Amino acid sequence: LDSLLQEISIMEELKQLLHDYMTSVPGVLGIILSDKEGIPIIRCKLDECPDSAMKTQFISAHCTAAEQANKLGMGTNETIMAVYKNFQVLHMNHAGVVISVIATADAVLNEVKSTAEKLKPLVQDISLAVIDPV
Amino acid sequence: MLKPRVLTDVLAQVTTEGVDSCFLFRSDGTLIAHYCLTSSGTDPRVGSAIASNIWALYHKNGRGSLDEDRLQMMMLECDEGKIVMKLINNLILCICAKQSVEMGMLGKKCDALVEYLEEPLKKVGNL
Repeated sequence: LDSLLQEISIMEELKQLLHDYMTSVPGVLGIILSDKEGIPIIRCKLDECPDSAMKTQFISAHCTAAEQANKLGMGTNETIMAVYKNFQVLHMNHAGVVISVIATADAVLNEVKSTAEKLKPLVQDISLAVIDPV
Repeated sequence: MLKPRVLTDVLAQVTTEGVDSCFLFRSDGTLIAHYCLTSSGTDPRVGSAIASNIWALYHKNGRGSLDEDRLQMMMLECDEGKIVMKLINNLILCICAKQSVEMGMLGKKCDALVEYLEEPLKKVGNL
């Protein structure tokens, strides 16, 4: 029970950390960390972020896209940024974990990308828990 | 009518300073025109089919999960290069460059081409 409570408090701390990253950049609405198959590890969003954007179906599309992008003859795909009329979505692959950031169309894309880059050390630690033991 | 040679010459104009190739294709992946500075291992038709697949995935995602939002541009960063794709009427313009090219420059080149080709391609009608 103690270890379970400890895990819950660690998850809450992680969510708070993600929330802090989110609120530090104007326009960022949600951050999701997921494994390479799109299964969410941790999610954090503001009220303005569409709920459907946090779902597995949305995140897992990136996995297929990244696999396809690897066949373009430009090496392994690292980042995909999609600019829509009202939103911007960034997917970054790092150490087997996918960092997904959803932002408004007004957000500065470079700042959104920097937010994802800043999460890399955190993701490095989380990746130890999600990589396949070989 | 569309003049393929002229279109290829226009696409060739962005292939400077690290930009390797430029493709124009339909949303179903059918290649309309392309220009490659160097011969790469990937067949341009295969490349355009893959790129259109990626575009279609995100386009569908936007329609389904982001309140029917419309995809306008995509930027991909890979180990050995960068790709920018932008919608131009019902076609997709795709520019591929080396890793050394800054994404902003690639985006600007794409914007310039889209602005230049938008009106003439509208006159050709449904492609």
